[in-house]
Amino acid sequence: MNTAFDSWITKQFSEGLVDIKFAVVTGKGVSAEAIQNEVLATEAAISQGYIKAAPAATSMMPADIAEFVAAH
Amino acid sequence: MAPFFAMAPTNPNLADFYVKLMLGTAQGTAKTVCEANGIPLVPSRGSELRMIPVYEDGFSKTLLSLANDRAETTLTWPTTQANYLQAYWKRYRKADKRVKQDLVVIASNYCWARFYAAKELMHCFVEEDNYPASNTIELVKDLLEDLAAGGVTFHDECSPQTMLDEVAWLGALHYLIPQDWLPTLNQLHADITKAFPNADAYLHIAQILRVPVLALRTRMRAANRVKTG
Repeated sequence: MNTAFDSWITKQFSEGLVDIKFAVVTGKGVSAEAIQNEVLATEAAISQGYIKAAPAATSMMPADIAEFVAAH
Repeated sequence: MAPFFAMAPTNPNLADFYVKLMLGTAQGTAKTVCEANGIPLVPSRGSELRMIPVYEDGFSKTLLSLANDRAETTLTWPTTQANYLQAYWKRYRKADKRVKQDLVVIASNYCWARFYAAKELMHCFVEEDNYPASNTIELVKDLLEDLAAGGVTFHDECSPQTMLDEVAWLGALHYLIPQDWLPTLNQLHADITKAFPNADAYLHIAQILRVPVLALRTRMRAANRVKTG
């Protein structure tokens, strides 16, 4: 069966793709197809320009501990 | 610099080969980035600890800029939501033989995004030798199936594609938290715990290094097991 993912990856190979690797968080009941669908959704978002800024730090060290570390 | 090459291994223990390759890559890239940014290679006290940049602006060198030195590498942050997929990396060889690499990071937590980006960027420093490359539909789908299984730990029977993808996590850990930093990290952890008994020392050290606290705890515990084991 030729899936949407098969079509997408075939197109990438035709455009010169020579390697692809993934960072995946798995859990019970995760299927390879679910991950494939997320790849396709992500590629669609990128092609439509749905891009955000790189995330920034939000968690800050308490002032008293920061002072302690600075004097360490 | 780390051995940035991956010959088709003749070593029967392929997993060991890739582990050494990834650790060497992490050590070499961290050393280059730290030296370029004035970050001590062997910090001797907590006040010398710094975040090692992965892709951030405002640094002389980052892991991303080192990748760019080797081949054009772009980093994209899509707005998509994903339950499982946190990042991925693609390498293209264009018709004119030019190599282009695309890194996509979905995670929106800063520390996790740095970790995922570092993991994927490790692949940029492994030469294209067609051996561990996911370069057919079957290999890509097999890799995704292995990753979906999650519990598949790499071993000699595991495909080279899956092995290399799994050991890249180790590379990211060793890039973000270098081996030579562990004595100082342990000392700082002990000193914070003593001075602030109710504080989560791991969390505060993670805030200095800008790494996931889970990754820091795992790295420090594993290193201490090796040391005392």
